[in-house]
Amino acid sequence: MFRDVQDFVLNFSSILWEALPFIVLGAIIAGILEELLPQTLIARLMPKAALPAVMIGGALGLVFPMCECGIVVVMRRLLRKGLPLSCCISYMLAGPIVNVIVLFSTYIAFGPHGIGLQAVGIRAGLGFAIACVTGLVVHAVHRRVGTAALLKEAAAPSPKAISLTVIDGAAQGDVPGPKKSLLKRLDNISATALHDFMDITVFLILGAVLAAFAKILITPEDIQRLTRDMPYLAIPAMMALAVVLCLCSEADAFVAASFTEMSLSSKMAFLVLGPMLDLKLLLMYTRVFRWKLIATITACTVTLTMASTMVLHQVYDPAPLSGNAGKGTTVSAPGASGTPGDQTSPPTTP
Amino acid sequence: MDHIGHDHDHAEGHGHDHPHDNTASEYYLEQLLTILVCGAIGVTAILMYHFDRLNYLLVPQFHPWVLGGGVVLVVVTAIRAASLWVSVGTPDQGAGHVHGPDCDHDHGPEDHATTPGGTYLKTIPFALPLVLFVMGLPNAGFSKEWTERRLGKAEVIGELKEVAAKDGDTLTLDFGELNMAAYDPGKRDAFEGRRIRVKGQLKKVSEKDYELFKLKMTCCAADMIPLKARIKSDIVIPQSLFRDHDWVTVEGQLQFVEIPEKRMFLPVIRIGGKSGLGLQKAQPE
Repeated sequence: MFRDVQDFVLNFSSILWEALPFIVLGAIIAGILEELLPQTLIARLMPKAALPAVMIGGALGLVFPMCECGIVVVMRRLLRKGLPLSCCISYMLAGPIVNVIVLFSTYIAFGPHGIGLQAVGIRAGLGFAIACVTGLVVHAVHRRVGTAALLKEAAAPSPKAISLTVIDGAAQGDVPGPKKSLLKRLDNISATALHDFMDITVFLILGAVLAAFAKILITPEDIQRLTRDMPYLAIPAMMALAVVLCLCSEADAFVAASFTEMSLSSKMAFLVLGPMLDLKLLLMYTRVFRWKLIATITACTVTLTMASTMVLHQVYDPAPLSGNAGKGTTVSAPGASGTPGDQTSPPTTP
Repeated sequence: MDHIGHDHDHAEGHGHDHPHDNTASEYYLEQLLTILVCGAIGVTAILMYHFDRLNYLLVPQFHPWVLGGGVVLVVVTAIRAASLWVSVGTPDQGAGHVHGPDCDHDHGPEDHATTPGGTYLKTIPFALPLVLFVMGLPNAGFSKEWTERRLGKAEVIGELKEVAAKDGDTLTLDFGELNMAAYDPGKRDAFEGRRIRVKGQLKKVSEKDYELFKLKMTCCAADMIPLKARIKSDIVIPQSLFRDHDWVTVEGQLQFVEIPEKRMFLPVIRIGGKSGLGLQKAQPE
């Protein structure tokens, strides 16, 4: 029991203190956006059609790299400033995957296995596609049910925000207000930043508690053992593991690469779903979205990840490096392949 | 009841929600709680860095980020605290401000989710990391039981084939390098047969057969994975000298064994024989 508590504390603290600086960063950016970003700028810059808007959102991570914790804070402010919901969703989902840092770490993790570039391409491609499709689905739902049914009041566009559906020529929101001093602006930024920090970190803490509990019950080795006997469970099991482990998108590639027994498709399911949906993110979403939208995002990301990785499994399953055994490599006696992991079974001769 | 507590502007629309029907004292209490909690977390982050409390939690590259996050949080909190201090008693923007049509700021939707009770509830989870810090936790790595569970059962590798020894000085390898070499056919060819020196932790498989492992942290403790190698000895390794999870430096001949069901190659270090045991206790990492 004491050891479980020790492990829980270590898991919880590591998740929390790793994420915290990025939440702070996200909160500062959110405060700056709230204070300095004109309401109409986004509406002027974004295309009116949904598809190009979600595609731009999906690619924004290349320009504004952000981990999945900080991105929720920033995205909430962008929503209030009139960035279309669909675009925000695609940025939120794709941003933690389609960014230079994460793609580089993916390459480093899978490079020694001979599939570095392939892993990068597949992860970025699937992440972008799933984010865009989810954004389009959210756009359709948004048109049907409206903003109030999907967003919490604190995240809904402010009354003076001009959405793409109504912008036309000169905008009401362009009326300039009284000039503010630098100190006043700093105060406003700090007030917004602290409020957002508190708001989101509460759910980060709760999510980290849940994840730390879950890690005591389920380990990656449990998943490997399960899928050894039931390989058809590999993809859903890895997806469930991604939700439970709550790893940051910079580190998860190394964890996925260590699953040497698993197929590439199941590892990709882990790497694509994890940054979009895990326990701590689900709790943070409750601060921004209503349950209808959370359910929509969850259903889309889970379904699309499973479907796309199953297709990937059929069309591309690279041979493991052991198939490329070079000259001078020692091969064990056949007894090694008798009973996997069983240290007591004697080696057999061919 | 007068609307209270806008000592700060809202650019266009509410940047955040707080109660509008509260008294001044409730508003300022909410703000003070926010400042207190954020300041405490910021100071804790700085102290975690200062007292090296992050070593079990994060890789060294992340420590400055925690320090930076703490400093920024403390600075922002200080700015907010100063502003709040100045605003107390200010007639226009503090208590007593009545909102009307000439207000140059907007009032967002009446989201009273952050009632004073709600604010108190929101601060409760923050107690957990603060209490853990005060208690000095965490103060150790993962438990042996956790490590055992992550290691799982040792791979069956059977009898090893003889590998021709290669000339050259003993190579000192990092465990990560050893692990990477196992995936690279070129490096396997280059290293196989060489004498190497590597540091790790022990786990007994049999009298002459031990696992050598190291827990690799990429970013934080939560993403730790075990890197494994194997030690095969020609002589019995004295159990009185080496126990499970002891840190050791191993020196011996390297070869790689394929584990087909795991789609991997396992580094195996042969020790014993004429050059002695090849196993020495080492400082923990």
